[in-house]
Amino acid sequence: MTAETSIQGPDRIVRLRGDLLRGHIAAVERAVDEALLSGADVLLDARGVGRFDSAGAEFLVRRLKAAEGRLLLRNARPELRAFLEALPPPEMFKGEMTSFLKPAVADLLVDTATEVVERITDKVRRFVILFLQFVYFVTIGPFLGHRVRLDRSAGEIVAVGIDALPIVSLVAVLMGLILGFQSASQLEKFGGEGLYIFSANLVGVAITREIGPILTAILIAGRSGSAITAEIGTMAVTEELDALRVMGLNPVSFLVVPKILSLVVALPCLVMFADLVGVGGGFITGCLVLGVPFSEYWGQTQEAIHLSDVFTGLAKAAVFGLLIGLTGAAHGMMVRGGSTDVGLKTTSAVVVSIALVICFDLIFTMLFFLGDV
Amino acid sequence: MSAEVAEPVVVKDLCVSYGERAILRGVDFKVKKGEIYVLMGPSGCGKTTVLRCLVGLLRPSSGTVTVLGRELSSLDEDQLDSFRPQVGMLFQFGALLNSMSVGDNVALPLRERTGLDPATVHAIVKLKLSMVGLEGTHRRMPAELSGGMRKRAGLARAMVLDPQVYFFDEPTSGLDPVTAAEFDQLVLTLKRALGMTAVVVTHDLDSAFRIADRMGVLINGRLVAEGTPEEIRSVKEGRIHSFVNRTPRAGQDDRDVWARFFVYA
Repeated sequence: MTAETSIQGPDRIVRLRGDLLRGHIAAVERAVDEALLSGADVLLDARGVGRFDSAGAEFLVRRLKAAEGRLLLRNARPELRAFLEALPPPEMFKGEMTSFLKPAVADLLVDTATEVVERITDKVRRFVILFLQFVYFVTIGPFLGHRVRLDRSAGEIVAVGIDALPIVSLVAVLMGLILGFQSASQLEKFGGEGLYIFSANLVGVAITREIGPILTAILIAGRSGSAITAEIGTMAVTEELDALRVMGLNPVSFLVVPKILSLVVALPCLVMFADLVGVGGGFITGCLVLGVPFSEYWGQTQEAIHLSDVFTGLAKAAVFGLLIGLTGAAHGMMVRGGSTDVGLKTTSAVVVSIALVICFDLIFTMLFFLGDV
Repeated sequence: MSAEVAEPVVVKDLCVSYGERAILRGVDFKVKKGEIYVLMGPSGCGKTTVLRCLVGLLRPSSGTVTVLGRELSSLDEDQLDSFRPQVGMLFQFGALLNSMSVGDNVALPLRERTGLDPATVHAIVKLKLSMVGLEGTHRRMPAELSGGMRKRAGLARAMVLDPQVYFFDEPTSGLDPVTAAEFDQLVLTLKRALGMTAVVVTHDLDSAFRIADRMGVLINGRLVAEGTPEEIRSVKEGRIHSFVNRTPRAGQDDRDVWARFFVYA
């Protein structure tokens, strides 16, 4: 593309020759700018224009409009003219060109801040409502004709619990191994290899009270909490939730309650399993790597772990299950619009449920500490 | 079962707005028993919103919706749940539950709302599926069905409790012309067989004129015309005429503006 400028009486003429495609606009723009800068009216002669594309046409429209009559187009081939005429006339671009531009960063920050506050209050509200509905449907509901769908829960328990066994055991055994090494290296500083035996205490208590429940909860939040949000969210998009409502089936009672119940049951079971495998991991480090005799390690473990450690862990796990289920379901039911929102809400559900699990873990630990359990 | 009502659907001055945006600005219509009432209009005119109000999925900002003699906004969620089996709704894409087979989908209302024994449920499901031309598909999953089959399965599910009023959301959208015509035929057959009362929302004009006893044209949240298909076809008023006769809206084309920028030399 070449753009030659010549002078004809009081006007300037910019002759275009060659293709007017995406890559050629800059050259033409420069020539047009220079010609207009002279103060004269400019005729854009399009006789020599070969191929053109939408970007080229849009360029012409934009410049013709911006010049307010000082730039005129002549000798456009019929194809080019037809194309330009099919575009919205320059008048109609009024105001629209700027609407695509991003708002100023400051505005964006203010908007986001208020939005975030609104979003959080909305989420908390929905979460609490869903919790109350759940409580209603498992306590009073059954007496008022809303049956608890244990059959649906049973199916969910397989998906949430049994299918998660491999990953939970893998992570738990690795955690046991790691804790074994970490505790041994600390114990060594206090009194040499003779203290290795006490890694049984450290691993046992850490796994049953903290690591077992929290690690399993995080895994399940990522695995099943996200699945709940994605499934319910997709059902909201495809009008399946509405279809349930129109059939007179409450989505909370029909879908959400079985899912949450399955988590409340499955999570403690998984934690029990994780405890076992995790302590086993510690045993591998202690006996096979550090050389503590098996019978001593076993005796030490039995002495170290109290039943209350295990039970507090399991109680926590049940509450974590409830939190993960509620967060997942509440986010799923919040999905509006399309597939993008399903993704956003799923991400959000995982993040929020992990944060909630850790917050509640702290609360429990403080309560147990103060109550001396 | 509620008593027979001569006018199963009565909508009075229905208004719905989302924040500042008014979707429906005072819609009134009545549907008589055994009548197929088609609500049509261009995309975004509020048709689906009317339908959502009719089944109580959406509460109106003002105005009343009375279905089978019950004023919906006076019902709480539990009362709505027990009322809804008396109406059947077909969603735009069928809205079958993806996690269940077609048969389980159709059986769901029976299992949840009635105490029928499994053998009877099975028999009814097969009967309803064959009424919509889907014999032998009860074991298939919704994802394995075509769009048209999904809608028909959705219809079977809507019919399974023998509701007194049906609501159809865009029953023929996304179907090829032949399948759409077949669906219309199915609706007409069912109307003859069951004396069904239905409100159909659509922008498919062919389908609308094929099945309607009476129709209303909804434009911009207002019902601008109502009558039999012949009456609607003969309306001369600009917007309705152009909608019914598929002519583009005026004012879309003013090339004159361009002339000022061209030198036709």
